[in-house]
Amino acid sequence: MVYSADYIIQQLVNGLGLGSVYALIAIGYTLVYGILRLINFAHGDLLMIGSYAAMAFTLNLLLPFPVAILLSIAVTVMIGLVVERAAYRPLRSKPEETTLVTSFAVSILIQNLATMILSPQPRSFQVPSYLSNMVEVGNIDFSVMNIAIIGLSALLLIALTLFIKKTKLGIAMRATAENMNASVLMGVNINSIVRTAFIIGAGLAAVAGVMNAGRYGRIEPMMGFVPGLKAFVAAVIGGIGSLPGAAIGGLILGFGEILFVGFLPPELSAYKDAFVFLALIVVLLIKPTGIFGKAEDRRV
Amino acid sequence: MNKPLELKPSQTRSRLSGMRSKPALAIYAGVLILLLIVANFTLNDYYLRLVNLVGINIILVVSLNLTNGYTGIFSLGHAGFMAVGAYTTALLTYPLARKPLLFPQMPAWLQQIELPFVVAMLIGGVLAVICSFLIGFSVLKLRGHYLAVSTMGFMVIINVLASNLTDFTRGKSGISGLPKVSNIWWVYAIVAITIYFVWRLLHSSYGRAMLAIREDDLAAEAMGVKVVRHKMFAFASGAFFAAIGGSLYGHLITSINPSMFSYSMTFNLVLMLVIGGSGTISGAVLGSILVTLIPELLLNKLERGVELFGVQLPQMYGISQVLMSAALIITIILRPKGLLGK
Amino acid sequence: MLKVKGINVYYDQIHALKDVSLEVRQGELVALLGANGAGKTTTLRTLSGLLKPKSGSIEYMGKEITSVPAHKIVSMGMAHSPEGRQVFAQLTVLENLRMGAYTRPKSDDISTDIEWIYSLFPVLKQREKLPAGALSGGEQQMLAMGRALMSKPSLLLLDEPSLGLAPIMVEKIFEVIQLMKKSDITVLLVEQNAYESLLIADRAYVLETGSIKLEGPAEELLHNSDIQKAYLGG
Repeated sequence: MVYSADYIIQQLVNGLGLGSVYALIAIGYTLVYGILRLINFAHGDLLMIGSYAAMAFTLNLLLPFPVAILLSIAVTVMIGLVVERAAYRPLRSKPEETTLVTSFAVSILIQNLATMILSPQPRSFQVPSYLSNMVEVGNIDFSVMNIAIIGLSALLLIALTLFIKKTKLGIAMRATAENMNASVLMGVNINSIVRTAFIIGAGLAAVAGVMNAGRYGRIEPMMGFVPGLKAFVAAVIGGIGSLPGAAIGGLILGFGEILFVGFLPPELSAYKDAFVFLALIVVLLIKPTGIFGKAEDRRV
Repeated sequence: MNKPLELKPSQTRSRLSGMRSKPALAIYAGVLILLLIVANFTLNDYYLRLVNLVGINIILVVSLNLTNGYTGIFSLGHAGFMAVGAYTTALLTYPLARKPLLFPQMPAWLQQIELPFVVAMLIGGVLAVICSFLIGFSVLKLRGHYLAVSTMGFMVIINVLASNLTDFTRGKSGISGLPKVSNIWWVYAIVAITIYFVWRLLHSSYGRAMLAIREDDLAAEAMGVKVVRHKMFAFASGAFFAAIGGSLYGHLITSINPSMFSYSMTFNLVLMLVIGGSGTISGAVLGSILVTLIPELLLNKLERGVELFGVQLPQMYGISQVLMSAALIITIILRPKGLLGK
Repeated sequence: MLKVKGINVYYDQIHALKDVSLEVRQGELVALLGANGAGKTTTLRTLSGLLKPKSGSIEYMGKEITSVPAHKIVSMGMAHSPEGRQVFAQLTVLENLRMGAYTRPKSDDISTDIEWIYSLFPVLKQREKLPAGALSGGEQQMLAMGRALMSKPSLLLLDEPSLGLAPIMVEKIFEVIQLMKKSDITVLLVEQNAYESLLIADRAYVLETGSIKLEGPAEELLHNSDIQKAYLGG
């Protein structure tokens, strides 16, 4: 099958859009992992909370879309902090499999709580008309939504990079991720650092949730789990604990998924979820630290 | 983990509570058989099904405990092995009369096979063991949560295969009309075999080696324990019994589809293991009983909306999972070893 | 300045410190000596709050700090340069120093302090923008000490600063420690290198398997025959 140049470019931009969403989620995963060595399976469900909140603010409270997004970030961050305090803080010194299982449980709890309160039926997610248009650039049609997603993600990534590299808190986060005890000796309050990581992660997840909902046009209580899982794989591929790694991993996965679906025969594209996990296993076996990852020493 | 190894041979023998002496064992067995006979004749279908389900879950969780609780290999792939077993028996025992109708594209040799249940079940177990070898030798070198996620990846891969190899599996709609082979005698006979096997294993040198691996596998290796071999053995045993359990499960419900062996099942098994207590057979048994019966008997009523003290409660779809996952979190925080764990 | 009374510290079931008492007065340089595994590092970690004693008390500047969270103890003026240096390998030398000043209020101008550290250890200025992991052992030790000094401590805990260093480096490190004493910083020095430590210290304690076996003025201990046999190759 021969694909037109237009189609290829469209798919690339599409992949960039999806990749940006995965990147934002993956960064949240990696931030928390870097500091706590915790794989937070419930992270993906924050997407769901973000999009439902945004929808409530737009439809029920009739607030302008940007305001709704800001408020949904606030709501998601609050819930993220509650989860951290209630479920993860008590387990700080426990082995990693324990916290993994707990995060799994939290994820199921959140999904079913949402199902209970909100109803299991998917709902349509409406974005303001200026976002649902198409724009023409040099004869090719692109969706404004995708462009907005790519632009916003780029801005957020730049802001985050500046924060991590230049600010006192950012440096403290990097120090804590590397050596928690030494950071404590510098006077760093680990609980504050952990909270900051969760705040940033949850905020990005909320934005990603809105973007995701915008792309697919609908939301439902289980919507966060699979993207969350994929973003986790992205973070591992990029190198868990590394922020640029998470971003790159997210982009690779997004591109990969779109290209998989867009260019392979439909019988194969149904296997995309399996391929994601296969990729994960392969990466873990060949280069467990991922593309940008740093080796974790095992103390003997 | 750097705890010094405190294991003395005399300790392992007394590790399993209640199974110390032969007469005690005989009495327990006798009581159980009596209960089963009574149950078989008095309970209606619904409750019988529940009793069978408890038994099947015991098989699943006791075997999961072998890898997760006892050897410290945190596997989230059990549901994948269950699927292997279930689909194998489904395809091999499906009544010949209807088989071609349901599976028109299936290769002829498969279409014409109908095997006795036991044989099919054992074949399923062997296939699961083969799968466990294939993924085990690579994945078992990983540690902690990476191992967990990779095994979960295996489960997803099996799931996707089951959903897409429609010629063999009928994809997402699954296979229905399986012969209802799982009755109380089959199930509990296999429960007994499983518990016996695991118990013998735990009390052998293999078992001590596995415990050593759980505590600190680098130290174990340094002491001469062939870590890879033992891990593989635990993993393969777990896979075998998972497949058996999966077969029994499929032929209890009489229909199977991929979503039965996915995240929900995985979570359910972990729930039973954690709440009952990992590292002990009795913990696994208790967890299976509690987590099978409580949602079914109590919580599902809440889901449908029930009248409590004269007040009509609304339908709360999802509350069962909410409460069970909350129970898991609380158990891990307050009593991390579970109710009967070590 | 620092009064430790009968602390008992456990690692799980292992009784690491048994009824340890010691005192460090303002302006002193006190050495804590002992063989590997005696409990010296455990003592320092307990003082800075990373470990909590099961019983006993720790008083710093007149205040009970036994149950004060570790990250608060730095802001009270106690800095700890940990065993193995533990510099932040992925952060630059400059960022490491900035981390040392984490508890300093925003209004403080720390650039003069950074300059002072560079004057003590010129090589750090040369390597300013490098990740700390690229530094040699001796340079990392200098960075660790510089980092600890950035918080402007009144009491400095040093854990085996000379460990694994070439003799020239060791000399330099001990020179700097003496300089700190002259700058009115009280120092509690944990060392395996008993000789060099006793030369510069005012007083010293000897730890053996978790208990204080000996204490006294450094001069005395230097000429004590048991010490000479056990730790000074005599």
